[in-house]
Amino acid sequence: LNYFSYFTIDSNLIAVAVFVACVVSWRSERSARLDFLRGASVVYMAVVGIVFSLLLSNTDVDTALPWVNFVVHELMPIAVVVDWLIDPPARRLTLRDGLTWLAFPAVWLVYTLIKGPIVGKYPYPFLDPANGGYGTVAVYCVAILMGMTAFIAVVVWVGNALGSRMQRSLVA
Amino acid sequence: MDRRAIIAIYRAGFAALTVVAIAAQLLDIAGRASSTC
Repeated sequence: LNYFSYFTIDSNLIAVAVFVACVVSWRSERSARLDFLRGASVVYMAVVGIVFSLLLSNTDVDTALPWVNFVVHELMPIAVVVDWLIDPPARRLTLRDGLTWLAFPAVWLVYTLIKGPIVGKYPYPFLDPANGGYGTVAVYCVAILMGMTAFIAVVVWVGNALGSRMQRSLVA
Repeated sequence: MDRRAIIAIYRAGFAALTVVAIAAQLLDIAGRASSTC
């Protein structure tokens, strides 16, 4: 059960669910709700890829199989971002839509910080107060939150820009 | 082939690969846990 406490695994499962939902409805008209969920998945998976490469590439995160490590931390994040670029949202997203994507990481963080002291284990060393105290954990969390917010703005902007261009080319 | 079909195949392939990867990891963790018991 601890395996599913990793943000990486949860985000990969969300990405799989979103891809499966897209595959199941591939012949139907594009759903705004599905595009909204795809955007959330892009942000979560990009965070997985970026945080792994910056903070965790030399850390044991319960992935003893190197190819699995590669798939969940590098390949799938790239695949999800590429998917957003080649098939941008059909309807415009707002920054407000994007900010609601922060709900899942916020809930995950609260759950992790409550569960950590109870089970004596944290999924990532930068969330463990044993490594520099809660002040250091707070600094990491705020930095990741700020990075995530900036990245959300980029995902929304790029999605809308590419989506409008695609709509124009379809009309022309 | 229809562009939407190609994208659907792309998504199905990556979704399947990720499911296999997570399942392989779970089996590996279960195997290691049982060997230490």
